Amino acid sequence: MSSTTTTQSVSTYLAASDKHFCYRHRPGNSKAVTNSSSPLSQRLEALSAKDKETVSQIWNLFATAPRPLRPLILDGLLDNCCLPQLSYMAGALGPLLRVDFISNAPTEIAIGILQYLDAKSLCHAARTCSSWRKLADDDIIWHRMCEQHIDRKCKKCGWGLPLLDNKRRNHLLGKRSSSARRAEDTQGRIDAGSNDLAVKRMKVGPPEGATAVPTAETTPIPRTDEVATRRPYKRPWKEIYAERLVVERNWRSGTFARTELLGHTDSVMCLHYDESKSLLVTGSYDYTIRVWDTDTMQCIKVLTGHTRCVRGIQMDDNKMVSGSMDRTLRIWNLKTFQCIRILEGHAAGVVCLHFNDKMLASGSVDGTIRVWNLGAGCCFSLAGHRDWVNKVQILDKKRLISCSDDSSIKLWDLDTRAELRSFNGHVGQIQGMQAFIPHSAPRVDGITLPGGILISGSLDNTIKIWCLETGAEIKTLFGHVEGVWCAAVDSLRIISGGQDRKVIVWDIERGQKMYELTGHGGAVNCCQMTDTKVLTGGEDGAIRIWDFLPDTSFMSRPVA
Amino acid sequence: MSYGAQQSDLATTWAQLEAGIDPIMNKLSDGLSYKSWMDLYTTIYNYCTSSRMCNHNDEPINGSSSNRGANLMGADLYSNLKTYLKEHLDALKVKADQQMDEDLLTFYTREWKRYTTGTTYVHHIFAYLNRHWVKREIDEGHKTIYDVYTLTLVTWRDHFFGGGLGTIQPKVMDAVLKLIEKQRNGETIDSSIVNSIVDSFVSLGLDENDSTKPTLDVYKQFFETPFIAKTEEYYKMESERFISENSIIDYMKKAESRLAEEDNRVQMYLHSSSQKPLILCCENVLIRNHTGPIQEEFQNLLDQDKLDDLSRMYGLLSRVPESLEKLRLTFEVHVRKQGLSAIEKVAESAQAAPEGEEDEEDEPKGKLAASAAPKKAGDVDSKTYVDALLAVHQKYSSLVETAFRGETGFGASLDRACREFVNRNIVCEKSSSKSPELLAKHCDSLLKKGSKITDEHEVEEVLNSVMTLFKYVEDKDVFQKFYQKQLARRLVNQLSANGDTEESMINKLKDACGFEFTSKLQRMFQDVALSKDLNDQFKEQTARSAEKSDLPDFQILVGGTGQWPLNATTTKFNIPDDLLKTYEKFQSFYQHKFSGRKLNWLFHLGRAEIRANFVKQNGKIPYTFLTSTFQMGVLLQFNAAPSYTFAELQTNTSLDPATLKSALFGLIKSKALIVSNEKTSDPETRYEINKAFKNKKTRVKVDIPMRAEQKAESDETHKGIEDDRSMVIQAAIVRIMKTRKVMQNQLLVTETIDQLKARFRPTVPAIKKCIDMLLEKEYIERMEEQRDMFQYIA
Amino acid sequence: MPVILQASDGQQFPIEKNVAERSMLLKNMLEDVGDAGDPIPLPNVSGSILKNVIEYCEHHKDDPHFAAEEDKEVFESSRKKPDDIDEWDANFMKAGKGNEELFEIILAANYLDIKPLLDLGCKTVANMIKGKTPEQIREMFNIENDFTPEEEDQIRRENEWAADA
Repeated sequence: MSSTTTTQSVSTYLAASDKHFCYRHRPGNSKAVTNSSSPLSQRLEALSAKDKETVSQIWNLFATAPRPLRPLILDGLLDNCCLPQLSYMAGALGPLLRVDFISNAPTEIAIGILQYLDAKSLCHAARTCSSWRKLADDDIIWHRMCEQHIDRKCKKCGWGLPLLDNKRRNHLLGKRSSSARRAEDTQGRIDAGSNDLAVKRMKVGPPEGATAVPTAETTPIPRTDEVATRRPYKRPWKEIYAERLVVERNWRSGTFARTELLGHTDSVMCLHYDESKSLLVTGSYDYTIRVWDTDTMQCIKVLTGHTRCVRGIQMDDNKMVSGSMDRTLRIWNLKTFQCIRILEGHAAGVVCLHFNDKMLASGSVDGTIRVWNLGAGCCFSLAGHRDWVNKVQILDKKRLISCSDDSSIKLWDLDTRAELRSFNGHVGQIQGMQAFIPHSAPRVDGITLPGGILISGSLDNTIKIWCLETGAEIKTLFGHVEGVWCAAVDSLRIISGGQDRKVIVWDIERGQKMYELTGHGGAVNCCQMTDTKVLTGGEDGAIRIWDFLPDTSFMSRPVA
Repeated sequence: MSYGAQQSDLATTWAQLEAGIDPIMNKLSDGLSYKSWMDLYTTIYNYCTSSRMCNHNDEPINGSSSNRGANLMGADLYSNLKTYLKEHLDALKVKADQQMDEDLLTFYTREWKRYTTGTTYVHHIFAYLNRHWVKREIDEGHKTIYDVYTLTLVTWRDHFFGGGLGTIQPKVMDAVLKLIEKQRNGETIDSSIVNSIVDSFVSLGLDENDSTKPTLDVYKQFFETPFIAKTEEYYKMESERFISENSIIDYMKKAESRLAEEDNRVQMYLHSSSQKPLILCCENVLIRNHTGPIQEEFQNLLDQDKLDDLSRMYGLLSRVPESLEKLRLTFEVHVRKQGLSAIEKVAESAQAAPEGEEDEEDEPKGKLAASAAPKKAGDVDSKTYVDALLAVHQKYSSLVETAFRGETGFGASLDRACREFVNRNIVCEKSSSKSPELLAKHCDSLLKKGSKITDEHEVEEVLNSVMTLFKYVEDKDVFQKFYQKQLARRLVNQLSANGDTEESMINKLKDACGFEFTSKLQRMFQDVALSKDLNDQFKEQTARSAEKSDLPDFQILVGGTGQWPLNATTTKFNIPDDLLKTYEKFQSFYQHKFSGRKLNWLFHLGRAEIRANFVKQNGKIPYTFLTSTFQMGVLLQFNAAPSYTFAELQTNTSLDPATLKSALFGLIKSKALIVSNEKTSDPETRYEINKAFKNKKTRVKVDIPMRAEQKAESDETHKGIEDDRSMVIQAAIVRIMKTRKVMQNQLLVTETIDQLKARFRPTVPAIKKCIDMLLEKEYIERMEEQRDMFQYIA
Repeated sequence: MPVILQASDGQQFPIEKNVAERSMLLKNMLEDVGDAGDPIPLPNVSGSILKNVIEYCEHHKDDPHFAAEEDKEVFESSRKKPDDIDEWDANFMKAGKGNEELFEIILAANYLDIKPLLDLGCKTVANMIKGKTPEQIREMFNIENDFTPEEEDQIRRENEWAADA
């Protein structure tokens, strides 16, 4: 009998007699089934005919023995073994006892196991072998991971990842369709079972290799030819997760690419950045407003018109509003860059402004805040501050918050036009302030703030964190050695810029300083924070962009 | 059963499964063993798990979307199951086609039950598939994949039940509707069949987006809509036929019973969500379409006072709220007519009444009564008047309560109607303030001594009912004036039947009109109480002094001028010598007590009792004359001489001729004095005391007022009211102008009417007159630029 | 009323009904078929494994049932650190069980639809994988590396981002 038939008959015997396949001998389990070229049969072949017969017979006997008898037979065999054979057995058993769960269990179970892993282990698992990889890269698992971590704090590992949903790019201002990251957004893959995830799945083609060199210019690679042939496909969740994890990691470690924008001839007092349009507008002491394209890092327009320093600026999809020390507010059309309206009414210079789709609020040197109804053109005044109003912000259409040189922050009700609350605690003029109301209550130092978080930076060198709802002061952050000029907050971090030319990044959860960003030649006057960038404008007339999202092409495996 | 199907061989696996599922679906009654159940499950399990090795090389099952990662097995089984179900249902369909009507229904329900039970088992057997593959599919967003039980329902719904050719749904619905119609026609049917059909419809509805949520879509679309359509048709026909053949009353009964029946039907076998649309539809057809004839019938029912039918009609029409408006109007008109005609009757009977001779009260056994107005031809008896009004009000008020269930709209109609006929009926045509006057008179008669109702509670009740009428009276101030006058008279003459009832009446008036209305009245009561004290004190004082025996018995009532509507004595009067002392004594006593107050003696209201010693009844008992003070003055003259001329009397008493004449009138009438000739007020006429005086009674009432006086008094009161009103209007105008400073004429008039309507309704000419008066008195002036604007002068 | 479970090798185990009902499969079947009194055959579970499974069910027989479809919730709440496994459960999993037994138990739990046990098993295995490099994982589970060197390199690069968390 050839070894092949022997082994074949082994299989048939198995098939015929044994009612239940154990894991090892299941058909399809390639490792278990011996075939003609396996080491075992080779060793058999090497024997003499008689020995072959003996060995095969013993094997057959054992193989055909019914299950309950096997332990008894084995015990007998063990009895007959001498020590060397026993230690041989011990050595051989180890590897054999190891079970490859993932490959051998039904897929459902394998996925069930994998879903308990964290991101790192999952990636390691993906590297082990192809079957593992297929499972470890499973979209559903990563979808769960994303749901757990993105835009919220994971209960398990404590990490929260930024939402990064501003990567919609509109084609704007008649630019060449090839520039900027080409994007269409899809609401795709919001699974039926997990409707609460608001993450938009972006279709983003592999970005061009824009360099992250700290110089002003980068040149895009035109991709006009690809526009037509591009096929929509959905990005895998793993990629989305990975992207955000990297961003978050960069944030935590302070890894960034820094770019400088030069152009203003005097200190930059205010800026506003719209990530979805890659548009940045800045206002300066040189009375001008500059519009920058952040993809090309070029200044595309300089707007003149104000007769004094431009202190406040903001834009939305169609218009831009700027406020200046010349007591006026100007509304500009973003497409034509013409000034379409001038709002007068303040008795003294306008220091800050904020608008939403209905109202525009502006704070002034004389301590009043004017709230303009954009549709009707009428306005009313809120009085209460005793000194310059440095920052205003409209919250949820009914309330307004403002900070002032009189060291207080006031919360106003816009319907009754009355002051609802005053936040007192700073001992110096409050120059920077932002209120932020995320959908899940932020936690600082273990205290949950239900109504949202309010931060303020003041010339007393400190930044204070307040609870919006109760008015209580939660924490004071020390770190600047000179006055704080500006501050911004999002769900994970606070940034602040000060007279000491430093920009400090703070972690909200622990209420601690993470690290500093240096590079400004003068005081840092204004700042803004997005999910991946920090933008600051300084006394030295330069604007710096610190980008935490690497531009490397990101594991985009093209899929069918 | 062999376990050998370890290969991922679809065909064999499926064959096994089918062989196992078939008996479950078709012959469940044969029973199921653990073994067979478990075998099926294990087969599926093995199939799903054993072929995962092939996954690596397989194409993704759903080609378009790449789900990288796991591909779970199961799609094949799923689609095979689907096909199986379809075939199974096809076979059923064939059988179903052979059935009709009720048999079809029984067949349907039976098969439905069998199907659902069987598929529940299948669902459990396929649990592995549900748990993993189906779940995965749903997670990935494939909406057409369901868990097995839902799949079976969906297949039933799409394949067997509705949509597609030759489907069973229309036939089933037809049969059901026929059954229901039979029931409506009075036959009994097996409602459990319909029940289970409804249940099946309900279970078949599935939410598009979430297959685990049931909806009522299928039920609504396939059952409820045709059902309601049919219902509408049926009732439309029935109601039209019925109305043309029967009376409205019967129709209403039928409609009512039909509505109840439909309600019941919902309970019995429909889904509760159908109740609203069903009842709405029925109401539409049964009631709304026929509101016309029903409303017309309303008048008849009112005329005939058919309480039950009215109640029923209300019940029916209240379901269609707009139709009640017409009823309310009819009702209002009807009540008004009733009220007016009732009063007419009263007026007529008053015309026919004999010249009033009886007084309203019985002959008083006690003191003189001086206030009753004897009935005159044409004068309406206040009691009958009030009673008539009350009767109408009562009748329709209870109708509103019972038949119309106290509905506020009808209550309001009733009020409006009552207000009309209380204030503007035939009696009031002559003068608008007749109603309150009569009302006051009625009260007076109740509260006086000698009123026919003596029981306190009864009086209370009647007074309450009077108050209800009072609410409707518009000229409340008229009532107030009359009441005040009458109260004064009662108090002065001590005619109140019961102090408590008087009090309670005052309270009632206070509740209805406020404190101001009754303040004067209450003060009158206080004065009476005070006077009592005064009298006691005075008596005590005189008792202490020596002249007690000389002085006649004396009682006085002192009232404040402000609250008592009494006029001063118009004539002079010589107090007879016998009384002078008392007079002076009391004067000093009072001055002593209340210095600074002036007493006006109202002799014309006083009364006296004189014992006539000159003549005795039956020779034994001397007569006592009950006279007025003036008459006393006259009679006492005859102590000195037996006869006097008119002129002499006049000189002696210092009374003016008219008063003297009326005093003498009573004396003459009662034959206490004999007059020499007819011309009673001729100065030369001689009066002689009648020594031959005879009378049945010992105490003779001599103080009989002349009739003309009564009428004059009434007129006087009315005039007084006019004056009062004028003052009130002026006060109101001034008040308004003071606040507004400037106002236009028309607005001022409206505002004034508005402010005063609680007390009475001022007429526009009256207001205009008052404005003129105020202009004269320079409270207001016309503005320069605009002639019809007025300005307040501060 | 005891229910008798019969393993693939014929061993019979009588258990109480409420213990048996920890397995949704058995629960459904008992609902459908009723109490037949016969032993319930479980062809895919061997006697020794069944013994272990029954031991688990006995210990947890009084646990509240999760609402079956609240997978999300269960996921959320059980996705705490996998290390927080109940003490008894941890011992149960460890006690003299080689990987093969663990594997079989997981399969059995899947077959019998005993969710808590399945989760427990998965968590245990996940804990074994956690924190290990690919080589270590391969060794532990006896996995053959079937990538070409180029492929391996590419995959390593792809997963690099997770490297330092």
